[in-house]
Amino acid sequence: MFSSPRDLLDGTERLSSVSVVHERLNEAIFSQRTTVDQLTSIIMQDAGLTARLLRIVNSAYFGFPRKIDTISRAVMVVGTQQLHDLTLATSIVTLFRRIPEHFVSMQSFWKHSVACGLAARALAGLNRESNVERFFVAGILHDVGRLIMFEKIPEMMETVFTHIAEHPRPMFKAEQEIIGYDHAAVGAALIDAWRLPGSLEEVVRYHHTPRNADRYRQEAYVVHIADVIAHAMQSGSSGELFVPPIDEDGWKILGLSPGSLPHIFDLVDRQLEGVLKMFHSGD
Amino acid sequence: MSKLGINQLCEGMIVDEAVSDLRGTILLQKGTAITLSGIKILKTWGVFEISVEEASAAEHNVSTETQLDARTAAEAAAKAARLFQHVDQSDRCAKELMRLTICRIAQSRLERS
Repeated sequence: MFSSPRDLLDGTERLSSVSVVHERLNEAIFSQRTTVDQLTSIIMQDAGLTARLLRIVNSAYFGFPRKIDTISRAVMVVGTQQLHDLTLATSIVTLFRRIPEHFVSMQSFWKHSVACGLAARALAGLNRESNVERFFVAGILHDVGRLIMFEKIPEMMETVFTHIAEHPRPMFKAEQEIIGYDHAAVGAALIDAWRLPGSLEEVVRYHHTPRNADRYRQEAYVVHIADVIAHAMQSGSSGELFVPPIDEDGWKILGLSPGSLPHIFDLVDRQLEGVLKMFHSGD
Repeated sequence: MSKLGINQLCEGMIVDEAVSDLRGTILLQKGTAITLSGIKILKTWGVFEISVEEASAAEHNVSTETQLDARTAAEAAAKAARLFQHVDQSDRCAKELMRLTICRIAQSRLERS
């Protein structure tokens, strides 16, 4: 019935398109002629989005010394691409708010995802990557395919959990054995259906197997290690019971030393609760 | 000489090797005693690891280890071992990650009790 990741997406209108505001925002950002005022007015058509973005730019995540109280100021201070990426992340979290919580609570799921996003952003910063916000978004979305699986094939996911209880193994491997594909493939199909950037699709697809990534291998390694760190911190859960296997080249490729890890733990700890509150409070 | 992560540094430890930023500007000279403002400077400049004199590091290690009772430490280590059963522990970073997880589990148990 659901022989490929793409099949899981069929008939789910909510999941096959991102919000109209986001699409218009995307067009506006990539149009050379868009002014700050035009961008501001597009964002302000969505009151929930406006409120969420203002909470984010005023949070510890950015740490600006003075309060930013208008979207036009936020666009100028944060930058259009970064604001676009954060808009995307916040819109997607709200899309999945009402998924049944039989397997994991949504709060716990997003806690793990946001922890991974924050760790990815920190790792990207250490590697002097440009636009670290795209790593935050990739981290937030890395396990999104699992939400689709919980919703569309709950019986099979139940079997996955039973299989893991009898034969302890990382969840993505159990998914491959029982279903034939894993949450990374489903997430990649979803990102493709949303017509989001190819880099995001590749990073999500290969977050457990970064060496298989082609054009965006470095980015895939960032999210791979960030996911491992989020699991080690035990910040929330996407259903996985173990710290996933680590690619042996991961640490070296990202230039990480043991001494950098406590710093990343600290950073995630300091920002996590604040960012989660912004994602979930009000609309 | 002991290499320590920035979060393991304590006031009074002695810097064993001059620390510089990416452009080579010296941030802390060899022989300097670590202070809270020194740690802040290192964080600001993205330095995560420095060398400190063996004796000053050892002094600190003794005092932190005694804070954790043996039973809590053993339970935390067992839980972390289950969590990390699919992770190859031959890499120094993977070992440090597991050590941090053990500390985290132990800390949360102490807070709960």
